[in-house]
Amino acid sequence: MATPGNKSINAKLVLLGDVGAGKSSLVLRFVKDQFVEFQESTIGAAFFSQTLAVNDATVKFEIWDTAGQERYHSLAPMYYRGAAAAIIVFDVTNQASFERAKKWVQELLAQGNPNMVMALAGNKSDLLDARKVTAEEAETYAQENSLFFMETSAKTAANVKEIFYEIAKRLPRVQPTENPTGMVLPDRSMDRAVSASCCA
Amino acid sequence: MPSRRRTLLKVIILGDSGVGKTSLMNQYVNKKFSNQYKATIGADFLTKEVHFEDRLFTLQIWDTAGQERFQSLGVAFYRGADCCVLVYDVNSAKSFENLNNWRDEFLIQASPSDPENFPFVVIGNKIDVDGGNSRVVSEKKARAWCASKGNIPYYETSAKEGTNVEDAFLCITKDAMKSGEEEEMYLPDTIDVGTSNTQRSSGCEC
Amino acid sequence: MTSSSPSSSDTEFADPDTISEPLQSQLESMNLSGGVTNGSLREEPPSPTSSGYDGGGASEDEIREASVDADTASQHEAAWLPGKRHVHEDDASISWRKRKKHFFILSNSGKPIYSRYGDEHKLAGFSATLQAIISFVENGGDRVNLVKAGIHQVVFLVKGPIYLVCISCTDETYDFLRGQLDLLYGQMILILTKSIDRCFEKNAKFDMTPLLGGTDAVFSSLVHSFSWNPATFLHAYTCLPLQYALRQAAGTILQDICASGVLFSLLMCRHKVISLAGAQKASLHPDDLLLFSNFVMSSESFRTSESFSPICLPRYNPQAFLHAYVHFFDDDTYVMLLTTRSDAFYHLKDCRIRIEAVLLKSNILGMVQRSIAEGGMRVEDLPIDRRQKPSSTNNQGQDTAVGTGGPFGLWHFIYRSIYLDQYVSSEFSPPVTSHRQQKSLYRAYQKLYASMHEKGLGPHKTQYRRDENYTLLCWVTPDFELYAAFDPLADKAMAIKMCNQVCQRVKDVENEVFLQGASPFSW
Repeated sequence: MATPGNKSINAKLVLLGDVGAGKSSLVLRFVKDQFVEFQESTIGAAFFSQTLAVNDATVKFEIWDTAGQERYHSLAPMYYRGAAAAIIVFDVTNQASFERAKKWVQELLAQGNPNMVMALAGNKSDLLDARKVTAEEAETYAQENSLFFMETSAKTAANVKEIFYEIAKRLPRVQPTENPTGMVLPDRSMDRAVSASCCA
Repeated sequence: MPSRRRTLLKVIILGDSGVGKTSLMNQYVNKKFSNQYKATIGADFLTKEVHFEDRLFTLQIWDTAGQERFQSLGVAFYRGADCCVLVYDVNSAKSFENLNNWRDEFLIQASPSDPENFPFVVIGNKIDVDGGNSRVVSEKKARAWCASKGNIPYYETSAKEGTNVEDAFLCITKDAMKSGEEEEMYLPDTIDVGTSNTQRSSGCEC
Repeated sequence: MTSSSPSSSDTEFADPDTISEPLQSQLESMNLSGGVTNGSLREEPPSPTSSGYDGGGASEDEIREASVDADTASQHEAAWLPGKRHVHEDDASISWRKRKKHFFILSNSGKPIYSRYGDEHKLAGFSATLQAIISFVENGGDRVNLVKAGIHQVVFLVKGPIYLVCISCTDETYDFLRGQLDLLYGQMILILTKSIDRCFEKNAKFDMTPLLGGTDAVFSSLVHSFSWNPATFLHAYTCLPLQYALRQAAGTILQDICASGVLFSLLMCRHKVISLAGAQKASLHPDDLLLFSNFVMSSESFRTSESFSPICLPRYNPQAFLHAYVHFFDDDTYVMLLTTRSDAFYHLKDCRIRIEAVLLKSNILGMVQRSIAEGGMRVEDLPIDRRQKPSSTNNQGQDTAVGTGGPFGLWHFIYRSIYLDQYVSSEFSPPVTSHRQQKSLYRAYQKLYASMHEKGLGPHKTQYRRDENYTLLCWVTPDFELYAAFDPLADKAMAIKMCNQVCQRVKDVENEVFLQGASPFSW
C-alpha cells in the first residue's frame, strides 16, 4: 500500500546455500509463517512473493528459493542474475555448510551485480548444543566481505522477519531503469518468429 | 541431510600371484571367508569404509588376479581408478622386480590424466616369514625404488601386523583426495533460445 | 606384463560361447538362489557374499513385502511409502539378497550410482562385480544382455558410460525388464541430461552419485509404477474421464498458451491427463510424459509453491534442459508448462493465471474432483445384451452379482487407441481388489502383450489364454488393442462377445475418456 511519498520497490531476492541449511524453511516461515521439521528437499527453484513495509517504502520481494543440490550449481546464475538481494544460508551445526556458504559468497561477489544486498544467515540457531560455527567466526567473515550477518531460526522464527527487514532497509531507493527484476520480458512477436524457424 | 560428504574411491591392488594380496585384503576388510571367483573373472571386490577428518570414504577395492590371462581386462578394470596399491613379497626378488611392470602396465592401461602424480602406495608383505630370515629384498632397496618413482609411500607388513595395512590405505586415501580436487565437472546444456547469455545451446530437435 | 605371450587359456575366455560358465559361477557366488545352466541343476555352493563389506554387521531381518490390501488403486498408491526403504542393507544382508527385484545403475568404471535397495556406497563391491561381468563379456567381443541364474534373470543395459542392471525373479519377460531399465535411464536423463556422458569422458573417475542427491523418491516411485501403471509397458497415456466440453475448454486455453511461445502445456490430475497441447510440430512422447509426471508427483517440493526448474525430456532432446513451470491448483491437479527460454518465468506465471481463470469459470477443478471420486469405467456398468445369455450348463458369471465383476465374468480390461496414443482401463472391482492381485493381473497382461508383439512373429491378431487365475483375451487391430481378463471359468464365446461390447462401450464414451484431436505425434 503506497502512501504519498512512500516508495514502492520490487526486489528479486535469491536464497543460496548447502542442502539442508534451511533455505526453504526460512522462506516458508517468512511468507507463510509455517515450519515443518522434515522439510523436503527443493527441486529446481520455488518462487514466492511477499511484501514488506519499511519506514519509507513498500518492498515487494520476489523470492527464489533455490535447491542446494549439487546438480543445480551450474544453473544457479539463472536465478541470481539480476537479483537485488541474496541470502546465503548455512547451518550453524554444520561446518561444511558454512564452507559452502563462503563459496557462494565468493561466486556472487565475482559474478553478481555490485549493488546486490547480501546477507549471511546462520540458521538453526535454536540448536544450542549442536553448534559448530560460532557467531564470531561468521560475523568476521561477513565484515571482511561486505555483507551483513544474522543468526536465524526458522523453527522458532527468531530473526526471520528481521533479516528481510534489514535487506529491505538496505535496498537502494533509486530503481534502475530496466525492469527491476532484471528479467528480459519476452517479445511475443520474436517468440513466434523463433519458434517458427526453430521448429520448422 | 548429509552432515559428512561421502566419497567413493576405486582402489586397484596389483602384484604377482602368491604375494599375499588376498589375505592382506581379507585382514583389512575383516572378512571371514575368501572369495572364489577371482579365477573366473579376474578380480575380487571388497568394500571398506574409512573415516578421516570428518569425511567418510568408501573404498571400492579391486583385488586383481595377477595373472597374465586377465591382462586384456586391464583397461576395463583400471578405468576410473583413484589410486593403486602395489604389493610384493619381501621374500621374492621376482615379485619386487615385477613392481615396475605392474606400475607401467597400470599407467598404460588406466591412462590417468596426471600420471606423474597418480597416487600409488607400495606394500612389502610377509616380513615375518621364517622369522625374517628368508627376506631377500631389503627395506632400503624397496624405499629407494619408491623414491625413484616419484616418492611413492612405502609400508611393510605381515599377516599378523594389521596396523601398517590400515596406515597404507589411509595414506592412499589422503593422496587420492588431494589429486581428486574439485573442478566443476557437471555442466549441463540448456536449450536457450532468445537470451543473450552464453549458455551452450544444442539447437532444437523437433 | 607388457610382452605376454598368449597362453591357451586366453582364447578360452575370449570365446563368447564359453562365457556363460564363468558368468554362471559368478552369479551363483553372488548367492542368488539356484544355479541352473542349460537346464541342469547344480548344488549351490555355500558361498559368502560377493564382496567383503566392513562397516557394520550383517543384518538378518525378515523380509517385509509391502503388501497392501485396499479397495481402490488410489488407496493402495497412498499406502505405499515413498522414498527408499531398507537403506541400511548391503549385499551381506539376507533380506537384501531375497528381494524380488533389484535395480542398479553404475558407471563404466564400476562405481555405484543408484540401487533400489540398500546404500549405494555399501554396495560398491557388488557394483564392481557387475561392471566386471559386463567388461568381461565385452572383452570377448560380445555384449551381455541377459543371464539366467535359476529363477533369477539378470538384465543388462549399456548406455554409453552408464550401465543399468536389473536382477529379478518376478517372471517378467526380458523385453519388459529391458523396457523398465530404459525408463529408469530416461528418468535419470530427465534429471541430469546426457551431459553426464561428457563428465565421464573428461574424467573416468567421476563419481555421479552426489548428482542424484534428493531423488530417491523419484526413482522409487517410478519403480513402483512398473507394478501398477500400464503406461509403463503400453507407452501410451491415459486421461481423466471428463465431460467433452470441459476438456475442450481446458484444451483451448492450453493451445493459446502454446501459441504464445510455450513448447508444451500439460494439465494433469495425478498421473492422468486432463488436457495437453504443444507448439507447432513439437511432439511429446508418452514416455516423456510418464517420466515428467512421475517426477513432479513424487517430489513434495512442487506442491509448496510455483516453481521453475530445469527438466530434460529424454525423447524430445536428451542433450539439454528445458525449463519447466509447475503449479498445483489443489492436491491432485497441476499444470506443467515447458519452455526453451530461461527467462520465461513471468510469462508462464501469467499463463497459469489465465488457465486458472478458465478452470474456475467452468468449475473444472470441481468436476475433476468429482471424476476422481466417481472413478472411470467399471465392468459392472457395462450393459448386457440379455439375448446373449449362454444356453450351456455352465453355471458361472452370468449376472452382475456383487463380487463377481462384470457380465460373463469380465473382471478388467485395457483398451488402447493406437492413433491417439492413449489407453483407458477399467477400475478394479471385486474380485481383483488387493494390490497383489492387481500386480498379478498386470503381469498377466504383460505376458499377453509380449506374446502378441513378439519380434519376428507378431503382431498377432487375437489371443485367448486360460490358466487357473484368469481367462485372458487380447485383440489387436490397426486402430486399437484390447486386453481383457475374465473369471477363469468364463465361457469363451461369451467372453468374445463381451469384448465386442467393451469396444462398443468405449466408442460410446470416447469423448469423455479420450483427449480427441490432440495426439502428441500429429498436431
